[in-house]
Amino acid sequence: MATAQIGKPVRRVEDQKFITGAGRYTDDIQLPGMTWCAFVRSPHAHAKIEGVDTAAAASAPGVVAVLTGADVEADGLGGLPCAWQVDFNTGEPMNEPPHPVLASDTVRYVGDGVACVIAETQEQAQDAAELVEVSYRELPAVASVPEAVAEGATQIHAEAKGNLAFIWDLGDREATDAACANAAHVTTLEFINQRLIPNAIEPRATLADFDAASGRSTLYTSTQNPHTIRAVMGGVLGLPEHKLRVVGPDVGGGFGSKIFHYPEEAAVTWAARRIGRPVKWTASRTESFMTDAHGRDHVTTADLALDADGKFLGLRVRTQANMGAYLSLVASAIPTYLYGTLLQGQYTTPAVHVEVTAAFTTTTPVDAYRGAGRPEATYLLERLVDTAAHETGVDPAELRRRNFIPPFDGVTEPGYETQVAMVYDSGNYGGAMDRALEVFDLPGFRARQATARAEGKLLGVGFSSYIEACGVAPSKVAGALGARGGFYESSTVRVQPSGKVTVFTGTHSHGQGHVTTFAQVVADELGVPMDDVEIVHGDTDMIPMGNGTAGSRSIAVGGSAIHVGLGKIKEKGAQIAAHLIEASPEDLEYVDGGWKVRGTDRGMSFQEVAAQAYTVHNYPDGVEPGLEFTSFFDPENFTFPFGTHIAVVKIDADTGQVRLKRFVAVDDVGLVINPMIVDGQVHGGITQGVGQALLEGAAYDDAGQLLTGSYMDYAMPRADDVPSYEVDRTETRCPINPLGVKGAGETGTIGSTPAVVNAAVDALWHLGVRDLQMPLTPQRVWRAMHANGGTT
Amino acid sequence: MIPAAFAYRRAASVDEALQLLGEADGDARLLAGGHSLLPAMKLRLDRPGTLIDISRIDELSAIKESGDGVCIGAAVTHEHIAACDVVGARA
Repeated sequence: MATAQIGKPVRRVEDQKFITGAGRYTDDIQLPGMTWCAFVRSPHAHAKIEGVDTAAAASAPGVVAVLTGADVEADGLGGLPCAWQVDFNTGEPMNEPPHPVLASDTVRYVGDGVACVIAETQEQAQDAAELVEVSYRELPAVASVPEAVAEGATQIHAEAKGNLAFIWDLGDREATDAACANAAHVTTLEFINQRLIPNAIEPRATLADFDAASGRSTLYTSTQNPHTIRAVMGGVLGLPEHKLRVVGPDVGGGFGSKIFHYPEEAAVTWAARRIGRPVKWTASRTESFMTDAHGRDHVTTADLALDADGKFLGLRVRTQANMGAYLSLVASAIPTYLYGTLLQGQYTTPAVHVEVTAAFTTTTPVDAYRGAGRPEATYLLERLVDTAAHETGVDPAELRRRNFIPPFDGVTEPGYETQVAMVYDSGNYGGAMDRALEVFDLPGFRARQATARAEGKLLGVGFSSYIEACGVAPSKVAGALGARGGFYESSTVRVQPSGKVTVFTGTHSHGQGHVTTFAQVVADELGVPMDDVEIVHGDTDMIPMGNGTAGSRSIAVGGSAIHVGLGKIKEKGAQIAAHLIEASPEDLEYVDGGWKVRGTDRGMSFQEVAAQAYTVHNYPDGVEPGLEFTSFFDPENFTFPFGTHIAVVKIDADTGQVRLKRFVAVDDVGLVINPMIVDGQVHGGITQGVGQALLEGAAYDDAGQLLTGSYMDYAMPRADDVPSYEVDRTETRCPINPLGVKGAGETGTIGSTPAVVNAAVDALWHLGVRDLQMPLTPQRVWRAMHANGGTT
Repeated sequence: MIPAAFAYRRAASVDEALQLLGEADGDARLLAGGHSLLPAMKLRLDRPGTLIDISRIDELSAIKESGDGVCIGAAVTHEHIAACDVVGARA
């Protein structure tokens, strides 16, 4: 009999292969007759294409084909679509300018594809790409939203007047304005939530194959969601599902940037059909910096209104969101339905209103990046709360406590309905903060802080009590809000004749450890050893349907779809077992890896029933042979993980360098299946959030050139930038899925950034510093310390 | 991130490096540490026909007493300086 696995820190079964170099990534795949693709990319942020001369490239050594935007047009390829229609607050649909696979008329960011060269080797393709002569007539660059929406700004797309994608709002404008006008205190801050570059360690890679006999294309691609790529690219190329197979093999990190369908995927698939040979493209790191969809990039003004007792009365938010040059796949949903809807946070604030102006610029498209909208919402809200605490002289933990939504389990008590269209599933926000304070010892810290200050040392503490939403749901509501796809997940549970179990999931693991976590669920439900369970993902030919892995949805939605399938297996197995032991199925229960007559030890094992399901020698009438079910799970709501993070920073009084000294994270992700994997997700997430707070930031110059195009210019967090984290949890079960899980992939990124910046401001508050913009570089912090007349 | 094709020559002495430079007729670059040159070549911002490697020329990698001071060769590494007794004695 197998022992219980849920709740155990089971070592990741996939790690042996990864740490011994046996992973098989897209770039590792070699096909007979394979060619290489190199892209000719715009060196300008904005320019008219006046001519493309491919003659020299076409006659270069090894070149098989040179394809341009004109060929894309001639072959009738569609543009890359956006999958979520957001409407203007006046009711008109958002502006959706075309996004061609290769530009033929105008380029709109540095890196925009103009042509591609297919050659026998990667070197030959790259050499020949340099021989493609493109004549450009430069147009003015517009890198930021304020520039883009200014009167007289250069128009980037004919279809987007004023460079607007949409202006969207949510909440009660009048009530919020009134709350702000009549409050005892209003805290106002201006935020630049800077643009980030995702930096998955495996660059994007694609390899397309074409089988002329069947007319089928196969695309191997470094993606988080093969079925989504099949659906979206199928539309671009006019390839229906049965003529297109998409495989997402081992993938070395995504962080959101590999959700989207990119032009290179369509280009290599199209090229492979044209030349009748496989075509591969692997991004250089430079191409990754330039063309992987970027994240964040908001400019926001926000007001938090409080009464004399510190109760929040209203939150007013005005955000400008930079969409980049084109609407990437889910770009429109990020600063709207994954941002505005989270602005109430953990609080009872009775009036919330957010208005978002989303505009096009001549920069790399911006889309979901770990947290996607929720870090931006949490950042502004939690910065406001700590600032309000300073301004009103109330302890930041106490101020939060006065405003927390009281605990509710979502079962005996209803979910909590916010002012911004969400119904929270279950929560105990004060409970998570209490636990964080226990771990942290706030009185002890305040004493040390006072001593440090007396010695001229700068020590600060920052809080962040975040809520987030995982597993976008339900499909019908998302559809009513403009989503162009569903958000269910599928599973196929195949019990093999030997009683081994193969489970196919439509989610995709690219670092999350699904192969282990999901196997723990299956092993426990069926009472079989984990070694008897195989989890398969990443191939549209093997998996019936899927929406991949994004927004911390995999266990909550994908895991639940597996759970549904396991229930069907047990139900059908009971019929077979009942027949074999001459009992009634209703009298059987599933215990210890088999079916038993309740209260007796008479029964059949899982393996015995599996064997009978495929031999069908002694079998109940009217029951189909086989033991396999495909199931779909469409959740009735998002899940809402939450927690409190506390950061301590020390600032060098001479240089302004901020060092993170302590980080306490208490997260509530519902039921925890594998605490080691959840810890890993939390650690990685915190580090990414700290990266935004202290180090990272994409920069463009006035000409629209990306200044941070390499690791020499873009600072990623390293091990010596962070302390050992103190991670703990509370557990509030999620009532809307059978496992009680909420999701753990993004909490760290969402919670940590404001905690770190709050701590830095706290360290400098007595010097007159009231705000700092990210990243907190020594220069920026030193200037703030001195601009405010502080001396140390 | 693949540089354009180039020839590679390793010089054993300063004289040989000078001779190779002359032969290349302006189409060569000297390779010492490569921290700036190689990224520039990979980005194809620089594409010399020949790279002349001067990292293993003994005359450039030596630290010697020189009157009141110390003469540190142009190709001496930080690590070498940090570990060098001659330098340490004067620190």
